[in-house]
Amino acid sequence: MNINRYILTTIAILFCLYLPAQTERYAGMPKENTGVIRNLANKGYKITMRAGLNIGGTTPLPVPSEVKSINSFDPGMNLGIGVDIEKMFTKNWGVQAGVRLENKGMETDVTVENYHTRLMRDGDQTEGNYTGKESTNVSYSLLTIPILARYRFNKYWAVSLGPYISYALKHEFTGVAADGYMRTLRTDPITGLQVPTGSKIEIPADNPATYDFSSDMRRLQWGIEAGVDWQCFKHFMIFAHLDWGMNDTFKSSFKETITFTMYPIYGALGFGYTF
Amino acid sequence: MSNIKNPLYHHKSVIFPLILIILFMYGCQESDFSLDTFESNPYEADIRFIKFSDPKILKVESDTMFRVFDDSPEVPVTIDADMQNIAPQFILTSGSEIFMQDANGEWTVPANGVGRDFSKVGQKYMVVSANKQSHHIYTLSFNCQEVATEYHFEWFELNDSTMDENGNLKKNIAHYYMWKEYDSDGVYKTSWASGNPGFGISKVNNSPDNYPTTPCEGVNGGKGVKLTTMDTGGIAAMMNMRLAAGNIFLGEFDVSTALKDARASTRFGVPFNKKPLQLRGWMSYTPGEKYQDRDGHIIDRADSCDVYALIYRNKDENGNTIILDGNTIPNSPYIVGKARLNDQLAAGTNGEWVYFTADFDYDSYPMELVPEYISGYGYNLAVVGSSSRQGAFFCGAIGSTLKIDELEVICEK
Repeated sequence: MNINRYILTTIAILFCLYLPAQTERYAGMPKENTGVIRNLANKGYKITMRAGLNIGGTTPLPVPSEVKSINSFDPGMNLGIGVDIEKMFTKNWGVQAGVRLENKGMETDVTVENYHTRLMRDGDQTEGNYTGKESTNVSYSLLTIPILARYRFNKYWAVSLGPYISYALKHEFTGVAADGYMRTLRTDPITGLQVPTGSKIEIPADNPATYDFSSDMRRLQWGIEAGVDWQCFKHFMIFAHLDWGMNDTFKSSFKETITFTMYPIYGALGFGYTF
Repeated sequence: MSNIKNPLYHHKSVIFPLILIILFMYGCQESDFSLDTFESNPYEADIRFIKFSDPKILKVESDTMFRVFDDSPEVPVTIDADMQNIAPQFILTSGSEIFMQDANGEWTVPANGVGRDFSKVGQKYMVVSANKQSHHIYTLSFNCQEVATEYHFEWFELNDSTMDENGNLKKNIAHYYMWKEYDSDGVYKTSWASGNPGFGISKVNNSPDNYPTTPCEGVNGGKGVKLTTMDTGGIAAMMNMRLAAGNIFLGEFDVSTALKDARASTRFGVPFNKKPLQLRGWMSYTPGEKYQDRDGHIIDRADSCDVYALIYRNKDENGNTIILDGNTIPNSPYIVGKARLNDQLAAGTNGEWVYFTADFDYDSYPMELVPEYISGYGYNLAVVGSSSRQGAFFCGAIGSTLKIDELEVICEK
């Protein structure tokens, strides 16, 4: 967490320092480009630094019938910062690859019915089907590498699409269950399936039970990213992209606890500086 | 390069959708919607209450609604009750249906309000959930025996002995011991309750011998019962209930409230029709070393155990049933008399078995014992053992061990 903050802050400071220096060079100096970035730019590579806000959720798709209502959703303040490089091969077609550090996360309150879960602490666990209110907090700090095909409509507009992979430097999945009840499972005498006919254990609103599945999460995520860029000024651009996670946020061994696959699906809105 | 027009002029139309997206995301934040009740869901299939058209058969007549706590409800009825044709009615989980078996053993016969013969054995019922996917089998029985007054702790069994493919007790199902009392002729008399089901919530994979209430070697070559104060761990600890005293008592344990209101889970007492005079029997006690308060802090205090019997009025002035639980038993106005192990023995016996006697004290309680009520089961008898006196308040010393055996409640002839 601390290391990650440190990295993000450092990059942000570097970005801020570099920005005015570059603009100055553009504005006043003759074309005497010795910097790496300028060299790249002269070879047709376009470099953009971006900062954005991630908004989204980690969710099963479709939302299972166990989730009866979403009572609140808080996307939080999840920032991302990165740099990417674009190379056009034709007038319209090219590629874009980058690297970024970003946080993704959300906090949501839902009402669930007969939702299979485990409440654990120090190796002791209570497993069963929960009915009632539940609050979930998901957060990741990710190092993400998108490699995208790029289509340019004109000087201002471009869209991109392609895969990304993310490595989670930090991952958290915690929550509380309160104002509901847990039913332990038993083998159904007719069907042989696990059914919620065991003990009924009430969990009051004022004394929540907590869970923490952080250590059962994957470090490596991948998915598809789709983005749109709008170069509204010479150097300033606005972008939006959507990261659609394609693998379960949890390790496959965790299926016993949360039976459905949870996908991280987050969109970003932000601005960038194009050199 | 220098004559790029400000594209904002050309692309005004994008600003609007962007604002819409932002507004939409903001709008998602607070849309309060809640279900009124979490009482049940369509996957559940429970008998919640049993009703009787002829309440006169019941020992406590006001109990026309009998609450069901587990899969083997046992209704106390009077000794002259006609058990050959009882037609119980069932209050089920909303939308469920109840069946009994036909001649081929199939669960096809609607069973609500159907008269059946309970005189020899209990009868089985199956509840089918509203969504038809869960099936829950119950065995309902009626007990017309008088409550035992001699307690040997010789007969115990597992609540559930489901095995896995390797012949071990199946994981993720709580397996713990339960006790029953039989008389010298082998006639079943009374069941004991304990807090074991509550402990099983968080320590589901503990072996049955690693529960607060377990069998042990008794005083005369037979078995006794061992009550141990234990660390609850798991979900109970996260809900600030760090320890569980071993306990055993006449009454019922309602596991559903064990985490919500643990003291309400211990429902003490069974209908009784004699005047008790003395509680006596064998006990041995070794207090644990470190006494902890509710927050788990070690404090300088010695643990002590509790063994007592009390008798209380089981109906109020309006005829409503009174059941004393862990919240009300310390100073209920319905208590008429109590016999309690003395403080010296309760502090510890160095693990030695000691024979104790404790006379019922009827003078310290304002409510009088009315002779006419006695024969009509107007009082409940509770016999209680606990390895930590303040265990109901989650205070005590982990490891405190109380053993009891051959208890007896001596009654007026």
